[in-house]
Amino acid sequence: MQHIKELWPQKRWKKILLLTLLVLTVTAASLLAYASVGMNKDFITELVVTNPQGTKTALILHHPGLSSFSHDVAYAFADGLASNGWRVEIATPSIEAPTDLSKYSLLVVTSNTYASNPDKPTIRQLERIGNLNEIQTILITLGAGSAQESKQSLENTIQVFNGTIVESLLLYSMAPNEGGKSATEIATQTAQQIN
Amino acid sequence: MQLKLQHKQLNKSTKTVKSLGFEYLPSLLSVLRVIILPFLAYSFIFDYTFAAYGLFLLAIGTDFFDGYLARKMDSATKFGAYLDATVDFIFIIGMFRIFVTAGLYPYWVLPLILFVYIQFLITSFRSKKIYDPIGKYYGSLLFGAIGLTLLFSGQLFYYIISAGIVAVTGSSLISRLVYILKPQMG
Repeated sequence: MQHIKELWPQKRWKKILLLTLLVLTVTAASLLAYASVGMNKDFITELVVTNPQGTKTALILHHPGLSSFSHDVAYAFADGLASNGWRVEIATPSIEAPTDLSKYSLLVVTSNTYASNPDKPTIRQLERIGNLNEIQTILITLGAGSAQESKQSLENTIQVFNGTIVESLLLYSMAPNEGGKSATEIATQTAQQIN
Repeated sequence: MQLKLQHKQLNKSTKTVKSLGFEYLPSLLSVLRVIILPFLAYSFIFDYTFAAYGLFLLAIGTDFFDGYLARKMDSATKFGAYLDATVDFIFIIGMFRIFVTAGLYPYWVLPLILFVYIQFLITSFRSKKIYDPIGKYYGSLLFGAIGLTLLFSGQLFYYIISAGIVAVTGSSLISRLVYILKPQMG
């Protein structure tokens, strides 16, 4: 206790500095905690159905992540499929998400990229599903800067789980996308070509 | 005569630094590392590689210059030394928290680092300082581990780093224990 009293600063600027350090540490810890939750937590949401009268059914998996980018791309893709006559079900990876793929003709896996890897909730969902039974699969890897490693990792994971990769897109929120188009434009246009 | 003159000049420059209020500069540099932390974490998570490298180098720079300036300005204090060590700990634990979240390192790395910091704090209050040739470089080694993690990837690489952290932590703790117990062992 005596040592702590000796260390406690007497000068006003040192006390202000200590207080600033405390505030900064709490802020940094909060941001890191938010990031940890956003990156790794399963979010349970209701299954969203688009174009219920569609002839064939597709399942889109997307994890909300740390921004709205994944949501925007997943729904843009869903709009593209629906405009082409598909019934689309959209789910977030969780214990409530569908694991029986027998009624689906197409699986669309949207994965965020964190530290060059696909997001863990998406990988966990694929593990829950297990054998994909060669279902036609479209992969959409999302990144901010570079995400090639993540795209490759996701493709490898799908192959391990016996999925048939029809298309593998890499879309960026910050870096330019192919043709100068936005990620949502590319997602919609790609989906419109799927029969 | 020349020595007296140099001593007078040194005293004058130290007084000038203190009168201008620059004595807080080394401590400000230390605190800057905590400000850098969330930006570095963000850059790492979203793969802004060059930004991450730049911010990390900036953090290392502040770690070097805070002590250097404090010695140059003759304003090194116990408060500054503890502030430096605490800020280093916050930076290291913050970055490893992000690495653990990203699945690069196992969870137990965090309590291990926390334990080393706590025992450093406790043993630093001893009147007789503990001789720990490894522990004095522990922070630098962890900074090196962070730098290597930003530069390289691969599960084997992360296993090696994790094993390295365990080895260094174990060696430091053993050397401290041996030093403390040596008089009792005769």
